[in-house]
Amino acid sequence: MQLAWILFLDAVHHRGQLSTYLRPMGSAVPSIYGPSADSAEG
Amino acid sequence: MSQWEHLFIDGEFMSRARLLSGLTVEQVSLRPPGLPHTIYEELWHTTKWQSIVVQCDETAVAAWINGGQDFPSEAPGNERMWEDLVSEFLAGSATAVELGRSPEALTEEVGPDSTLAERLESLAVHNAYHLGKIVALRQVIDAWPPPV
Repeated sequence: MQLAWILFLDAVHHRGQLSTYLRPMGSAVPSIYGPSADSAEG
Repeated sequence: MSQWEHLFIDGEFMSRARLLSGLTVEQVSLRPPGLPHTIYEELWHTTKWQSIVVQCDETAVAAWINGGQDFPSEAPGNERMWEDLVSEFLAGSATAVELGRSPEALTEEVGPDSTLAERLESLAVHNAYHLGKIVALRQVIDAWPPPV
């Protein structure tokens, strides 16, 4: 359980970093934990 | 370290207190080209949702989910506003850890199909995601890593 959380939290944290880099690189930010300003739902 | 301290205080990535340290109000108000939110706005969003969850206020939870104010309407006017926001965030995280200390409370349903444990786990994921965005913003404005 603890190992699963370690891996999961690390992935989530870095996903946040990566999503921040997407827009300045000219890419749209997809829905991740909810709609983004670029997603169809946003 | 308990699972909740790991999730909310200093597990896996940099301690939350250090991750948010060493920033001026000018830095947290910067909006780099192409990025929608400042560091202040990211932490405001993260802190307000955390506060709602740890207060176990189901009316506020529903209001937020159904179109509540996601981000602040104004930039911080002074250093104190940023410092207060950081303090509020860290205090909310400490409250989350305290809530997790009671095995009985963790199994109680706090909302539709959601126990307190599930609500806290979801909150930790939300925090980790937005703190990752704050790290990226700090890197963009050349304010990373924080001072030791």
